[in-house]
Amino acid sequence: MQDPPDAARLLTAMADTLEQRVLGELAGSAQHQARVVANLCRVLAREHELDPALDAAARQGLADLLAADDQLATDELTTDGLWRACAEHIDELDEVATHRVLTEIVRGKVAVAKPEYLRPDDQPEAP
Amino acid sequence: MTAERADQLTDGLAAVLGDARGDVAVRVDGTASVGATRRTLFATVEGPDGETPVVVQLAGLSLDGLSPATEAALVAAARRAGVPAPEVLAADDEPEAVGQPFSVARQVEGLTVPRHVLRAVAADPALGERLTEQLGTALARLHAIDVATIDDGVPRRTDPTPTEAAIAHLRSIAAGLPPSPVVALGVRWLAHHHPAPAPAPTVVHGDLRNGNLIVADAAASEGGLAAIIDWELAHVGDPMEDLAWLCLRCWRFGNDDLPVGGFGHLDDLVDAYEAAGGTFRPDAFAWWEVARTVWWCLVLALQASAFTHGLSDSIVLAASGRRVAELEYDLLHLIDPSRS
Repeated sequence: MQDPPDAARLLTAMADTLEQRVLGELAGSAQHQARVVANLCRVLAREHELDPALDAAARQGLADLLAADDQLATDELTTDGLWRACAEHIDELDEVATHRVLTEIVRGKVAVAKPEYLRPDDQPEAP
Repeated sequence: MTAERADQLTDGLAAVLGDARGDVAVRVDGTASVGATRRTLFATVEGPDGETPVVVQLAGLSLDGLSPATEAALVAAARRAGVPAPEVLAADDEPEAVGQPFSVARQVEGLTVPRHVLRAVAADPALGERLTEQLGTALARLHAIDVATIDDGVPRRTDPTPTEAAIAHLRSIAAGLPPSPVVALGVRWLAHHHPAPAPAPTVVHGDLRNGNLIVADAAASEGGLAAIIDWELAHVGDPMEDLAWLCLRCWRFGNDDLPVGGFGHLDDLVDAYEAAGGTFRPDAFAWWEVARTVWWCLVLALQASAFTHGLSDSIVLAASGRRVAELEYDLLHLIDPSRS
């Protein structure tokens, strides 16, 4: 528990500060690094907002996919563990179902990391 | 860079370049880039002939790259074949001369930053078309070089075939990283979709894309391809690898309808390539699109891994970990079972 502003708001403010007040004072490699940091602040702000729901959906999708293979016990695994298990058992999994589940998860990762990279038909609907 | 290190560098370069050009002095003008594998500096050589702007590359941690001397020999061969590339004035794989392996090339004027290139193309659409055609011609010339004449230091990725060698290479990189089901699915796709082999292996630039081109814009002259740079990933393999890498979505910078670097149409690239003697193989092109997308996905993960394992404190490498998703996204699109 922390007092306001929350993490996403702070990260956005950090990005704004870097972009609007700091970048112009820098040049060359330092400017490039500051731009990278500003972008990471925006990524982390989105991550803070979106990741809990995306992670839950990813966990469910991977667990369902792996559960279709009776050999695999998935109850104890974290989302990272399920992701690795999916890689390790890729040859045993149904290609179409695997592709569908991974696409859904990766679409969420791109929505966090670089939403403008999503193709138009993958863009989230405007609220 | 410390003052002492800077002096060692400029004195060393002056000694190397002075042998061929009389008494010279070298002045470092600035840092062009600090990449994952090398540091690039702008410098000026001052000698009896006047001032010569040069680019100095200092080799560092390399994932795959050619040594500076091997790269210089290959660039010279490419220039003889009619491929626009910077003239290398000196290169040395040994650290004695300037403190680390290096190369010095004559600076070529023009745009290199992808967004600057795309801005110039937006202002002059004929530039994009011309650039695409020039790249097709340059690639055909590069791929026509007799590989038997190429420096032994250029890796032959042909055993038993370029596609089999590529899969083995991808698996070896993946083995050092946390397992990814997207990469695993991509490699599985590659193993099940080998194209017919290339009639003969060729020289492959290996990193030809928007970002490794020097583009003279219309203000400079007619405008177009002034040079292809960054030859460190060159190897002998399947020529379609170069065309596929040039056309990956991640190098279009948002201009999705122009697959060639975000500035050109594939048909124009292929027409120019074939007019200059190349043979376009669509199934191999599609295969290499997938292979190089997997590769770039792995390299970005490797860069992030260098950060997480404490081998580098670079924020740029750390940030690569959040770029992996873009490549995973493109990979899944390319191998979508519903598209085939």
